[in-house]
Amino acid sequence: MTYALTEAREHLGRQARNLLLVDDDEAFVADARRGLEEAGYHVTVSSSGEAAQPLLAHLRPDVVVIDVGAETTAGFELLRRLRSANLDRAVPVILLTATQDDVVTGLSLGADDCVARPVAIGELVARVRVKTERPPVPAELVTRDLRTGLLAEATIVDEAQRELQRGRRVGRPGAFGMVQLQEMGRLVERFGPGTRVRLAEQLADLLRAEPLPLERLGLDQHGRLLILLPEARDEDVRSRLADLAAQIAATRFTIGEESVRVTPVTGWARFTDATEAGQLLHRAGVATDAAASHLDLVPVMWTPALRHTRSRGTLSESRLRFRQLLDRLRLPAQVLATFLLGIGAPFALYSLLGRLGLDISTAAYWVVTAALLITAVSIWIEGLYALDPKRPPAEPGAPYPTASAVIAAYLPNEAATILDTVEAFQRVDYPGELQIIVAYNTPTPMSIEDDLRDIALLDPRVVPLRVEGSTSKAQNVNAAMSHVKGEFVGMFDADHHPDPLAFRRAWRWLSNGYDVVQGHCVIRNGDASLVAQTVAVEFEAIYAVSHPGRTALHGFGLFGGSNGYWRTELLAQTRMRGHMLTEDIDSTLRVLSAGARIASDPALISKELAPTTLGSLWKQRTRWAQGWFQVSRKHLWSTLRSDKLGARQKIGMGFLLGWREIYPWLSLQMIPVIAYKATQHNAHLHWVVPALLLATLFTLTVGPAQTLFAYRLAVPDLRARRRWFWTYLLVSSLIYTEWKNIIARVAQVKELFGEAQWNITPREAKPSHGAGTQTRTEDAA
Amino acid sequence: MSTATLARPTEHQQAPPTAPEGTPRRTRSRELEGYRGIAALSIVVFHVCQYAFQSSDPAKPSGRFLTQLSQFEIVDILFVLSAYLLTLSYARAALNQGSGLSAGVFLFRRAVRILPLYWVGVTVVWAMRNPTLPGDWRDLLEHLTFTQVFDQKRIFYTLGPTWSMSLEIMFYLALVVLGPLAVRACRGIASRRARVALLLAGTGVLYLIPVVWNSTAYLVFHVSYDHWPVYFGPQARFGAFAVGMALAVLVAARDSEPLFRGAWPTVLRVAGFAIVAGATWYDRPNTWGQVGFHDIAALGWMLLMASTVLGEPDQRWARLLSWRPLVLAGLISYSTYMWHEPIMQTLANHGITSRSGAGLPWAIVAVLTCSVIAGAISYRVIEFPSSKLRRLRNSDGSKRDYYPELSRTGG
Repeated sequence: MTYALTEAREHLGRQARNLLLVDDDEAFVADARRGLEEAGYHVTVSSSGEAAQPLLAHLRPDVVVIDVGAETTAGFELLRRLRSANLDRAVPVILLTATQDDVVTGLSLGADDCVARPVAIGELVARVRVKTERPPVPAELVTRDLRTGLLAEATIVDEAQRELQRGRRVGRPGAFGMVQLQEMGRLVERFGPGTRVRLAEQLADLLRAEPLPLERLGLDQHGRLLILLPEARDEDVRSRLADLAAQIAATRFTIGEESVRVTPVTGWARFTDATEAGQLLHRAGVATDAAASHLDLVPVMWTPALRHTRSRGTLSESRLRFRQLLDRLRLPAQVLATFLLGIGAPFALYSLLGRLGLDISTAAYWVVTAALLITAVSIWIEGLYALDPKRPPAEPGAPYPTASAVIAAYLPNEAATILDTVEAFQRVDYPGELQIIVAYNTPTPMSIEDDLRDIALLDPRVVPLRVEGSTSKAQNVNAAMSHVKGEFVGMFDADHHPDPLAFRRAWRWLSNGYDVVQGHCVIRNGDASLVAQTVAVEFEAIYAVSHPGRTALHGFGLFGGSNGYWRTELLAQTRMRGHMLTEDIDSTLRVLSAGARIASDPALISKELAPTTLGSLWKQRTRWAQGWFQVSRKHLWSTLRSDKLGARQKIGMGFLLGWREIYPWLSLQMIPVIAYKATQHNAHLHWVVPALLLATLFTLTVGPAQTLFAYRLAVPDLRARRRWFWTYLLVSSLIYTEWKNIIARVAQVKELFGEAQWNITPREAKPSHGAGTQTRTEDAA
Repeated sequence: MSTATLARPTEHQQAPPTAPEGTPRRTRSRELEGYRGIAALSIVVFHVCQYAFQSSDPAKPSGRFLTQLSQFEIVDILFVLSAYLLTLSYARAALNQGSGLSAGVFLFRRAVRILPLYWVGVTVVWAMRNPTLPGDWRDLLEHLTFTQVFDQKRIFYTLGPTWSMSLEIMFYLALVVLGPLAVRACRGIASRRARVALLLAGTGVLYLIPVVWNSTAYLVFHVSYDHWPVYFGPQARFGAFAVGMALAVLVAARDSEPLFRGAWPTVLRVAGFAIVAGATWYDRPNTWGQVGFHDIAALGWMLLMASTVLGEPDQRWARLLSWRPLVLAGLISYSTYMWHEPIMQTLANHGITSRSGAGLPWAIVAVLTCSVIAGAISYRVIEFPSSKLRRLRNSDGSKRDYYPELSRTGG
């Protein structure tokens, strides 16, 4: 006892603590007072609970000891008052109890400790000392989570309030961010309520790695991470949150024995967008909800637009009709505008300069000729390189691991093909475990969902996954990532039938140092129409010639979309971004810039359906062209500046993202030059100059060369259709090539004018001639 | 007025740039590439000198040394090299009584190696030099069909140095006939020694044909040296090919084991250089030395090559030849060769270089630099991509199946 008293005194030092002792046992009170005062406490005694209550306001005790043995009701009442009064909620209370029931009642009312009477003074002093040194605090008043060390929600909101006011006062920026784990609900269901804390502990370790100056981290009651970023500029916030999201996505978290992968969703609000911390927190939450609809790891900043949704339902009928008329006229107007811009503008320029005595048409002629020749040469080289495609090593570099196939489906349109597709995947011959995830979205429940569930019951490899609120393939794929068990993932559209050996072959690449491998999509409904037949040959030109040729020439592959296989870790970190029209190309460009290796393998086959009508083909190609323009604008400069890409790859990027976008305009430029020359009275056009003829002939060889390369490198099924290739040569020479150039030009205009309706292009479910075939409008190649 | 064929034979192309330790010496690819690089750069220098000497400029170069330099045609070493590499597989087949390459496979490989760059070069340069149609269409036709070497007027038109490509093509045609004949002839001979002797005797006869032809033309019929089809046709220049073939027979007979060790490779090199230097010294206009130069120089080049392919590996000379810049020069040598003449003429026509004696060093530097740059670009853009055509066939000449592993049950 002596020891305990001495030690207590030493700990308290000169700062005496107020102690309220409520007990009517005078003998005990005298002993206790002596002991406690010796230990350095200032003791106030009250003989009853009722008498003690008025003392509380001015006394503000640091600890209260209440005897509930004799005067149970008043003692418990005092305790109840203490716990309900804001000021004293956190004061430690020790009960002196007589029975076991007292203990239970006391603890349920908020007592921090119970000591059975009789009690030795030394023990009482020791217990009092513990409560004053390590005070028990209500959860809502704890400033930091005890397990994770992160600030409690109330604390970080308080701090946010102070920082917000300070920031507004001195004109400094700042933000409040939120990180939510998309799978939290499901994980809690599966692993129990402790999951939040266990994940938060591991997250906290990640978060502390490279904080921004002044950064503070907190945790709310739902397990969401709160990040206060005072004095951080928008780009710093965006980058910090994006890095965090990437880190979290790349990490495997442990819950008990299980290892799980999670999808972080990040949102944030700027100090300048809120007047008080509660609003800031709310807006960060709104932004996080918006991010949760994409799951693409991109942090979403709160903007007023997140509050509004546009609706045409409020338009009057006449205005609606007018709007529809404008919609119908938009496309012809855009086509016309591209011709005016591509032909009329240069012609006007030549004429204007001609009047000023400066004729640049001859120089322009040679520049255009050179540009056309460069393009022709590049196409030839690509074709020649495609003759020697890189092959995967004969054997995998590691045993076949679990693999996952993610089939992204838009059910209203693709319901007819999805079951066939699932069966095709069930036929895949893969030595390891193969998981087949059908990630679909549908606005209304469909009977096909029952069929999928029935298949899943019979074959546990099949996992139907309905993605609520999804409007894009990207969202479906991102949602599927939480369920992926495989070490690598193959991505497919709902009409894809992979070759049975495809997953083995993909693993031979991925297990030997590659991060992504893009396979060869082969059209299987070429018989359906001339359009489908043309696309069938074109796909051979794309997948058997262009992709492998470009990969061999420039040292990088691309696409990673349908029939593309990714290392799961990389895809989990990268995700697909729903706001990009060609989200797969965007994703591969992002990983390429970061140094990933992407192969293109023409012998990695999956068969799919082509559009069968011109209308659906137009929509598909406009989407692709606009998507390409989008990724070109976004990635051209960043890839050229990337320190992970070599000179050869950068030249390739320049061609792919720069030159390919300019070419549709260049292809028109001979017309204004010749038109201008023809208007000049003294102009002498020598059409039979050998150099000109040679250049023209060479440029004209490109079409036949492409067709010839496609024929020689086509899959056996297609090569057997020799007539298709002759038809393709004719169609592409006469119309198809220029048709695609028109689409490319129009797509650029659409993109520059912010026409983004393609984001939610509805798919048409129009059955074509062949059984099980279907028109698709949304997927990209 | 020179020449050479720098298009690498396919056998060589297949060899890895650096053979792993312990593997047979095979073709000594890096060293041979080094020879090719030296030859290509020397030919560019030679043509710049020759171009200056043929100028009507009174200030053109003069002096015995420079005069001899302008006569120094190194092209024969390329014929020796080409013949050596292409004959090797036939020689091995004949001596080991196996079967040689089929004519179709052989010609396909040579065609994809030679024709694309050759036809592009000829067509582009012809189009540039013929501003109106029809132009000199016979010139184009002859060059495209490798028959310019029989045309006294047009042999050096368009791309002058391509006369050597014409000879190279004719050598291929000869080889696809002679190679299988030799293989068949050796089948009935039991003794390996006798087979070697037969093949060497055959190459000896092939060597003597041009020696006899040239001497007779000059000494008996007094045909002047500027009668190009007589002295630049295959019958006059086959000597260098013949010694290259003989070298291949010797290497095949030794089964790639070194024949010369210690100081002998050096002795061979010195002897080879001495023979070439002597031949050059006596290569004077309107003498037998001029018409006999190539046949004699070929022997010198053979000794030089023998010091490498029959000598011990890892000699200092081998390391020099394997010097990376030389190997790279060898890699782009065919392209450099094809473009250097129009570059040389364009630079002179635009006054960037002159054909005077004083301007010769600058002209050499400028033409060499531009030719190497053009060669590198041409290699990347034309030569290397078009060499991929070879991949249309398997190594046994059969058509390539690009989908051998495709599941026949799926899809």
